[in-house]
Amino acid sequence: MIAMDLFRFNSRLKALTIAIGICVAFTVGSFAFTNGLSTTVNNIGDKFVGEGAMVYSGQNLTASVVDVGELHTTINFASVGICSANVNGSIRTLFAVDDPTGVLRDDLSPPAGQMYSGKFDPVRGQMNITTNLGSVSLTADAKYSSNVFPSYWHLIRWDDLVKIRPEMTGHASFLLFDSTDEEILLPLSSQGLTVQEMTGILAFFDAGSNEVANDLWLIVLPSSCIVALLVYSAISMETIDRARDIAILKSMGANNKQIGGIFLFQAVVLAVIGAFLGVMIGIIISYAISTSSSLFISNSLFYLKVTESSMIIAFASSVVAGILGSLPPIIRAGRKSVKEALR
Amino acid sequence: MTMGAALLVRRRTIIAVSLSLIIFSATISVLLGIGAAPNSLIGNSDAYVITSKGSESLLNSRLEMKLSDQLLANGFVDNVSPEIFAFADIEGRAVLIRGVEFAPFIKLEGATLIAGGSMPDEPSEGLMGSRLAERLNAKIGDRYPLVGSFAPSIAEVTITGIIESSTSVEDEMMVSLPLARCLSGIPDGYVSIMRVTGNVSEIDKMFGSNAARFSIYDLSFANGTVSIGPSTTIGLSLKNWGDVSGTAHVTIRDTTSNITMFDNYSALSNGASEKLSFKYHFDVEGKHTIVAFLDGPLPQTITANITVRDLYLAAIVQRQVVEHHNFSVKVIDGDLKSVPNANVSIGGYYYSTNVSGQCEVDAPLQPDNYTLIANLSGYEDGLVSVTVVNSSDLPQTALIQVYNLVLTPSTVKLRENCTISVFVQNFGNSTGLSTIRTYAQGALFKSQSVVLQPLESKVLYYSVSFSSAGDREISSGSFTRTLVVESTYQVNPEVVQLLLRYGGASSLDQSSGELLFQTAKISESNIIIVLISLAVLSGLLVTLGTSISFMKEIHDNQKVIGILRSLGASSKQLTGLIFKEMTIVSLPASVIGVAGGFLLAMLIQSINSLVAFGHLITPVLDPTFFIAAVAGSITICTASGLMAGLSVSRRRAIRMIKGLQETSEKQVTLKELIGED
Repeated sequence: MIAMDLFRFNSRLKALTIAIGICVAFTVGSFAFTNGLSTTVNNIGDKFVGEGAMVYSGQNLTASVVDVGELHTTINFASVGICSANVNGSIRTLFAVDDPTGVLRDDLSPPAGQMYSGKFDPVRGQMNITTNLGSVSLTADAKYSSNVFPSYWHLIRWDDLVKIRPEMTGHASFLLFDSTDEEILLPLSSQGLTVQEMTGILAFFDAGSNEVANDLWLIVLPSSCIVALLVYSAISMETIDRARDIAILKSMGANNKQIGGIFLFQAVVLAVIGAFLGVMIGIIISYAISTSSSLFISNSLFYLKVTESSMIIAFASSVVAGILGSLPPIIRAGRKSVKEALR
Repeated sequence: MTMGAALLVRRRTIIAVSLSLIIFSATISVLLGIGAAPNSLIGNSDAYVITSKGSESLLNSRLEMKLSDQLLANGFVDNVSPEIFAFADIEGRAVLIRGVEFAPFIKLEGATLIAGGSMPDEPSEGLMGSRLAERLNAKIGDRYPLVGSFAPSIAEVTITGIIESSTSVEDEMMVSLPLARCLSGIPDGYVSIMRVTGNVSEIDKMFGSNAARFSIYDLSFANGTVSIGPSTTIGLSLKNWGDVSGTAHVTIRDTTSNITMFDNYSALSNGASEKLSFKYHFDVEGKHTIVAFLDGPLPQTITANITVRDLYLAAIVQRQVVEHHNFSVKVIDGDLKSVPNANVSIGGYYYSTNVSGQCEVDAPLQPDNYTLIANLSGYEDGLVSVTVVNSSDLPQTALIQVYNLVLTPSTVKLRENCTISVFVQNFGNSTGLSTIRTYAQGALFKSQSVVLQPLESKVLYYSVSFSSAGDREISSGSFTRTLVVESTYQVNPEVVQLLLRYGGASSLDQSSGELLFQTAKISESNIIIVLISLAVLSGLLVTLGTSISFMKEIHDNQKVIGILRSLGASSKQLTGLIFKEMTIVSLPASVIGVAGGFLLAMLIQSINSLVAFGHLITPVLDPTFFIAAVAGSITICTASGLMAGLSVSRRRAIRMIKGLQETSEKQVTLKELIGED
């Protein structure tokens, strides 16, 4: 109550409140920039339809072995097995597809005794394929037609794949789903499998937006430092101005905690009013920039977006910085003796 | 002077002001770095960047690979790096994947391979920038699964080397062009961009302003299949994309027959286009390859195919007829027109078609298989198998079936009509009704009910055209035919409408490496507006911080100011004194603040944590910015000093000496507060 009564909202403190407001507006504006960026890239991302997912185990496709029999899912998928093998003296990647439900919409099963080459590496003739686990001899006289697999991979039958990589019996290197439904794919993650959604640009946008959001903490930090500096200066001046009042209160028995409380209250009030003002200024400036940019730039698709979370972060960082900035002068004032303060 | 400096503004103020300026200069440096980030994506800024004209971004640009050879054929071009872009999320980090030809790319970037690595040999191998490798904790030999950027596809890359460079490619993964094509969906023989280095002035002459530059596109034929004899129209578009008028030399050759069909010089003003067309008749049947060639500093070729065949006849007749029963024959040509006076023979009996191309066969044929032949001088014969049966051998119910499906022609250009002829006959001995369904690409195209007498036949005609190229499966009954739909031109016009953009500062359009923001359809101008706004806010914020530091100093020394005023100092003198002292403090504070800001920015840079869309944001730290930042800081301090000086010069001496507030408003006193009289 005493703290409230002793609070004086003079011109200096009004200026300080505006200054804190500008700091907070800076933070809000910065977050609006990131949120706008994030929203814009999401809007662009929405134009790309997720067209399935790849599921594998471990770190990469070559080493991945997925037990198809143990898979708990109800949706259709195509199994793909890959193997690196010596083909007529050169190391090449071979793959086989088991797609009973037609997920890939292509016939990717060569006739018995044959293989299909990729169009980048159109091998022809008799191919002796060997690994340290087995070998098979196949005839290559045609190319497969699929845009899903790299054009330097070569297509063989699943039973031929098993001959050179026996562990593919009942297993696959990776699975291709034609669904991106998280409810269906999430349980696969819980089975220890890696689920990678196609298409890549969606994930790139998401990760990129997150990176920019993380960068913004480097903007929140300096603005908070300046808020602390402002409050420090203001409270320092207040404690000097109010030295006689502090002395009298001390002589009447007030302890350092009570006196500190008065000035801390003052700092919190200033920071809260300043932060509130700043959020308002931030919203107005953000929308003003968005609107004005569309007036000046013909292809303006970018806009600033103020979110609840950004307002809360800006508000909270300002109040915390205000409290921290007020502590040094409050502690210094508390240490002064009555005699020293009255001098 | 020294005493004066310490009179009102204590030296420690330098610390507070420096702190504000450190934050200010570091923030501006980072904001400039964000603004410059798109430029850094282009890599080596000394390179020209070629994209296709009209492409909204580097991503939908398409260039023919052979342009690389054409450029290198010019002596003033040193190096050409064809590139494709793809995108990935690896371990939660945005990663830009650049498909390259490794040797020219490494040369262009001036990159070096870190010891232990090797250049990729296989299409599944790639390189990784050292900063990206550090972020991903990647090692040589690591494999990374990748998915298609825009459409489902999968690939895996094995890292064979890690590269260091002074450019942004340190944040990227470099893969082979075949792998990048798999991820980006760019067709074989094409890339997104080409970066070119060489003699800049010569390249400028070739691609710069004040020159006529032509491109050819849209090589088209009236029909994909033509007959020997009648002439057909061949067309080609020509455009001058340059800034001045000029003359283009265009030739069109039939490379199959080794004949120059068209040789022409066309004068065109800047921005103008012209449709070149001529009539030509082919003498030799077969598939002819037609090549349009544009001469000049950047030669271009467009290739298209046309099928030439003899005039031919076709006979429309029932597949099965009953012995001793007459049946009708209709003779048509390749254009589905009736052919009168054609000779028709079957089983040694001869007939001639009337003006409608029809004739009635009344031959006493015994049950057997026969070949009906339609012939006329100047046409290929038309042959049809006809089976004569005994009526007792026919099923006693209606049996309506499709017995042939013909596409005329079987190869068409875009939007060219193809006639689908569905031959239907009732093979039963009873009249019946049936619905004949015709499908295109598995989807129902037409459905038609027919009523046929015993052994009656009918031909159903449908017309179809397509606006996109590709093969189409047309089916009806048990028959399936493939309709080949070809582009009217073999090369996308945008590809040949080249526009060269300059990566550095020049009068030409700047590519500015806008990949990042153009990807998100965000214009560079928007980003600049936002960044300038943030910079202005930052400057305002630091001005306030500095002002309040100075005001605190003035406030702390208000007794001294009051005494000076009581000794006769005028407001002007006081303002001048305060301004001078603050300027003396501002100079070292500005230098310390900006230097500290630089150090802070370097610290941010060194920890490699400021990343946006996979690329490190490098704070701007050049000397120009240093000088500008010092000047800006001094301006801020000067403005702050003036504000502080003006605020105190108006105050009364006695109040300052007593340490009282200037305000006259009534304030609560301590006595009032504690309620004592």
